[in-house]
Amino acid sequence: MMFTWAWVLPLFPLIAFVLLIALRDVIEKRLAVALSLIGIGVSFGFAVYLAWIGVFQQSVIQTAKYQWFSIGGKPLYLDFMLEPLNIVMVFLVSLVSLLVQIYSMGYMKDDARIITFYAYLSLFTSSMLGLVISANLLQIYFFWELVGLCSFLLVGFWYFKPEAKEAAKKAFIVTRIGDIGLLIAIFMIFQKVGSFDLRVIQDAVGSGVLTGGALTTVAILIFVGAVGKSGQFPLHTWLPDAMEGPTPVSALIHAATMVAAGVYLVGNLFFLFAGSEVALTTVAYIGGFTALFAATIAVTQNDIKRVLAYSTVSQLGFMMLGMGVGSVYASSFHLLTHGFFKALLFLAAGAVIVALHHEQDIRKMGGLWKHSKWLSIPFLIGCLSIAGIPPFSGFFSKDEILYAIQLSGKKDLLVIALLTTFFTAFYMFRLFYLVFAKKSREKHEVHSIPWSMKVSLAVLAVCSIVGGFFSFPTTNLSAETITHITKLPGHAPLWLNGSAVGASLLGILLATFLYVWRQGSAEGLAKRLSWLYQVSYRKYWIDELYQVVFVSSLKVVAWFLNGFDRFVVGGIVRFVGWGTMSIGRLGSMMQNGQNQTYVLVSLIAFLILFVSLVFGRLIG
Amino acid sequence: MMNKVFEQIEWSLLTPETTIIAGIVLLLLTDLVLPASISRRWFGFIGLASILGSLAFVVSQLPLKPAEILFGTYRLDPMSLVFKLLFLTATALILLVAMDRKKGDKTDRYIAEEYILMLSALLGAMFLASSVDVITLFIGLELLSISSYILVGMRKHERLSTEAGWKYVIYGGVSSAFFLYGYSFLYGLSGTTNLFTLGQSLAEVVQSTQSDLFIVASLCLMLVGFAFKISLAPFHMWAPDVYQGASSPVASFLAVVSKAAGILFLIRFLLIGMYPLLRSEVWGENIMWALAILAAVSMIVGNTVALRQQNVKRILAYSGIAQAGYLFIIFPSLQSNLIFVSVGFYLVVYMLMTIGAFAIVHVVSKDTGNEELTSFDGLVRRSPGLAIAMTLFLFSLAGIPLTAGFIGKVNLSLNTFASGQMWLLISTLLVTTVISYYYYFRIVQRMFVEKATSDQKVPISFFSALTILVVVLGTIGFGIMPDLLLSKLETVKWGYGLIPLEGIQQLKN
Amino acid sequence: MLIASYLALAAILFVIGLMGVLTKRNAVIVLFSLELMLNAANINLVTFSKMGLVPNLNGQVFALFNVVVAAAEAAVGLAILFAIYRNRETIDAEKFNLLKG
Repeated sequence: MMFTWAWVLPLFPLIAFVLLIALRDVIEKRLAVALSLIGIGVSFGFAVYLAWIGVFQQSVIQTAKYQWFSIGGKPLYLDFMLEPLNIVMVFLVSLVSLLVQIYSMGYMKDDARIITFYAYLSLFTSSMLGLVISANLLQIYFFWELVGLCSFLLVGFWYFKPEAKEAAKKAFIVTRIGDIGLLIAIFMIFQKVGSFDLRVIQDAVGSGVLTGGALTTVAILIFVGAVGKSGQFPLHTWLPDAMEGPTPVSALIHAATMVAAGVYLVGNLFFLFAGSEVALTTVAYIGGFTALFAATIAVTQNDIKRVLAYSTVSQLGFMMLGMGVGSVYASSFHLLTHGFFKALLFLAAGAVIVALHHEQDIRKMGGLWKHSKWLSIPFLIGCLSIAGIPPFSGFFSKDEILYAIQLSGKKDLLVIALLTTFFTAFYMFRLFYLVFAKKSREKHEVHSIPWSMKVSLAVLAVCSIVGGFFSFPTTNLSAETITHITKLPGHAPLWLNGSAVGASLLGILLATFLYVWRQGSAEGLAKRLSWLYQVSYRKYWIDELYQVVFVSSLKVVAWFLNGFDRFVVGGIVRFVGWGTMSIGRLGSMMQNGQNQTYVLVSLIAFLILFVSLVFGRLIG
Repeated sequence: MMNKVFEQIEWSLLTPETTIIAGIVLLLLTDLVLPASISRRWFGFIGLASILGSLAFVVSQLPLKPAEILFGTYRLDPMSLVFKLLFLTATALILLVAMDRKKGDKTDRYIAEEYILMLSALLGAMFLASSVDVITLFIGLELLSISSYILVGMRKHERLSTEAGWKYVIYGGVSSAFFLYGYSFLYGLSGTTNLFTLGQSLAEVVQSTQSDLFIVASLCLMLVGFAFKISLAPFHMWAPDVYQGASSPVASFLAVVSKAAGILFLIRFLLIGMYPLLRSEVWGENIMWALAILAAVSMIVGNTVALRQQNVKRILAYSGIAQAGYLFIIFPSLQSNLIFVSVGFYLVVYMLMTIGAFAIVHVVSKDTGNEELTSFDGLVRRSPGLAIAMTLFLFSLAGIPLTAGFIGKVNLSLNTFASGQMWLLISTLLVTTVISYYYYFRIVQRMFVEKATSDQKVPISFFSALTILVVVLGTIGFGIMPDLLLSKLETVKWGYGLIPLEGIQQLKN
Repeated sequence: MLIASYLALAAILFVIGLMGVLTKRNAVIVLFSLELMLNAANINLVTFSKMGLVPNLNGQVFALFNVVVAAAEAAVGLAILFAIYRNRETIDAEKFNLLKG
């Protein structure tokens, strides 16, 4: 069927943004929030409609294109695509944005600049929606940059906090480094193919215009862009810092917008990667490394939001790993379910923070389970889901990725993935126990949470539970599509399912062991776990062993990686900054106010120019 | 005999220039006749009227066939008309900003001179646009330069202003001397001042190995002159000092009109007169590299030194140096059609955002008395409109999507890319663009984050507000619908500006 | 006489002028040196108009124009120098360094 209205999807939030910015001084707060909700709500309505047609009725949706401008006589179109992947992304983005906006009604209600906040949120959603329906590289880049800009605005929303200011700047600049890669890739494609149109580029790849080394370079450069946006190693440093923004923003960035963009891009341009084994391997290994690396760091973090941030980095690495072994299906599926449960976790964490008067250190928390079931149950659902315990959604999607890895035959990656699963379960439940179990280590008066937050949490919790039962839409093989999404052949073998769940359970068990059982007083332990009494000696020994083997070695690894992160990666960043500043200092020093120096500089420049030209002539 | 010659010349082609001259004369006479007690603040309207009149004449000339008068020195072709449109629009906008003056300004006494000099500088630029003869090119350039020297040093009670004027005169004079000295050798080899004839005779001379060193030497000497006007590093060092010392409207005039004139000068000279050298197997490649390196150095120097600046005008000056570098990346490709469309588009965009930014600096510094970064503290709480407009201009200068600057930069780099493997330039452009975010954002941060020094609105005259509104609309409009301008620029027959009249007539037949 | 001697004269003048601009502290001398540079170019033009590969009058015409331009430039330079002197009571070119960085 024909759907010429694709462009209205990002339009409504954009209108809301313009209205809110223009009227922010005169408009009533409630009205502004309502306007913003209407904007995103309408887009969500369209998303549901599209999902109904494109996913459940399986019909192919055609879109219209409009001429934008022309470069060197070649027309450039505003072009859209609504293939299953795009529809799912539209659905995810608009749903999570809608829920985050509802949630923010409670979370941000005391903030004086709430209207500006909603305006930014609308713009953010709008640019992300624009990104996921674009079928033209330049257009994609356009929205890609806008998404970056919005995250800058939102992360730095509390600009009066110096950390927030720094974090916003870091987020913007670091992702820009990746964007350079993407832009160069776009230019290279344009040079080779002469078009930005994804369909044309796909044909060019098919017909052999773009192959071999050029294709590999292009694919890797695009991946560099995705690395920046999706916080993959070594450009992941901005993501944890971006926690300085308001929590709803973190949820939005981590679940549906900013960081999802990188994975989406790789998925959407998968036809470029598919032709290059080198590029795929790079994606797989960078993804795998990031997954494990970030998971080990998460183990030692004590800020509730930072733990979640590293878990996002790790999960994104997992998705990249899935892409790298060639399964868009598995990765996109995980992107979807991750969107649900990560949004859930962040929003629940935000509620925890609100309930505890903006306390973020998990060592000072505890005992929330009794206080608020509205908080603890959704959080538990999120934890179970991300840990991959059946029947929660994370289990199904993670399983697909593991199966894809197994099919690709890369044993080392499979080990990495299982280890990551183990660590993920461990740190998530460490977090869960520290926050919810036992007694509070500090006396807090627990706030009640407003209904708007409860609604969002409930919806996301339901999605996290049932999300896995829907299978991810696949593309119609007879239709011409840009991204082919096909199911993996057959089913994952039972031993794989078993070992995945086993790894998770092991992680949970370890966390339970270290943070629940060992913590209680000896009498308490003895009473509750009388069967352990007999092996008290051995228990003690295992405890020590665990302490040495797992926790300490783990800590050493984590500290080491953390240090590497801070000193080596950070050092390179600092060195580049220092180099830039030095050139600036030198230039500024030469600008000493003496006109005669200026003339001298230009004389020397002239002489160098002339001599090198003549010299170039002599040797060349 | 002489009478006949004059009768044959189509003087009507000169109407745009004549209108400007009429405006200058009218201003001079009115200033002379009017008693000193009467305010001269409305003089700007005379200037504006003559610019608008001239603009109307230029527009009416657009459909005309290419023509030459005054023995081939003055020429009417699409290239010159487009550049004249650019100069006239820019000057009109700048004049509107310049009319926003403080009450009881000390310089009110010279208000007529200021407008006259701006018009005469404009006249020089317009003459330059229509010249294909070195003499008239040079005279046009010098008319532009000398008028701007005085404009810069005009506020003679201010130490910074006079010092800036001094630096500009000396640096400009030296550059002119370099240009002339370089050109004198070309004259010796070709015996002509006409660019087309120069190109033809150079084509023969280039072959002989003895003379080609002379040609390269003179090209290098002349490049000093060109690069000075365009403020390409390392010939840029006058720019920050002069921009800082000059008043903001004058600084924007230098940044826009003077730079664009320099680029046109360079285009005509390189692509007509020096074309045989650029196309020669021996030298072509090397010269392209030299041009590429100049562009790269400009981007690097402009963007890094700007990081250390505290004065907004200096930041804009360094950003202008970097922008000149961006503009220049396409020259080494030497594919004229691509050069013109992308340079033309970027020049228009650059004009809009630069005039806008300087207009806001003018308005703000009029209120706070200086142009330091601190003047912009908390601007958003004083005049949100101004702060948002300034943010837009800075974003456009930085090349962020939704602004015209983004499309301009994409267009430039894509065309450069399409025309050759200029990896060095493209990557320098991208990397330095990232660097530039730091200093652009610093201004934005100042405006939005810092505490305001006062809570009063920044006073702004109707005309400044109008100018800012126009450029805001342009910056957003060309950012979203660039085709409005691009499609027009693509239909312009730029090539006619590079071939002799007989060649054009042959083409038509 | 040989063309080379004229060219050498012009080159020497140009370099003397350049050195003057670069090294002299007295701003008036700097202006004079600038004039030397411009006139070096004029000598070249006139020489070539008489003895170049294609001798013709264009060079002399150009030189005349240049004389006018140079005079205008010198006048403007001196006027600005006057203004500076009034403000700061010095014409030492090394002290004109308020604008920098």
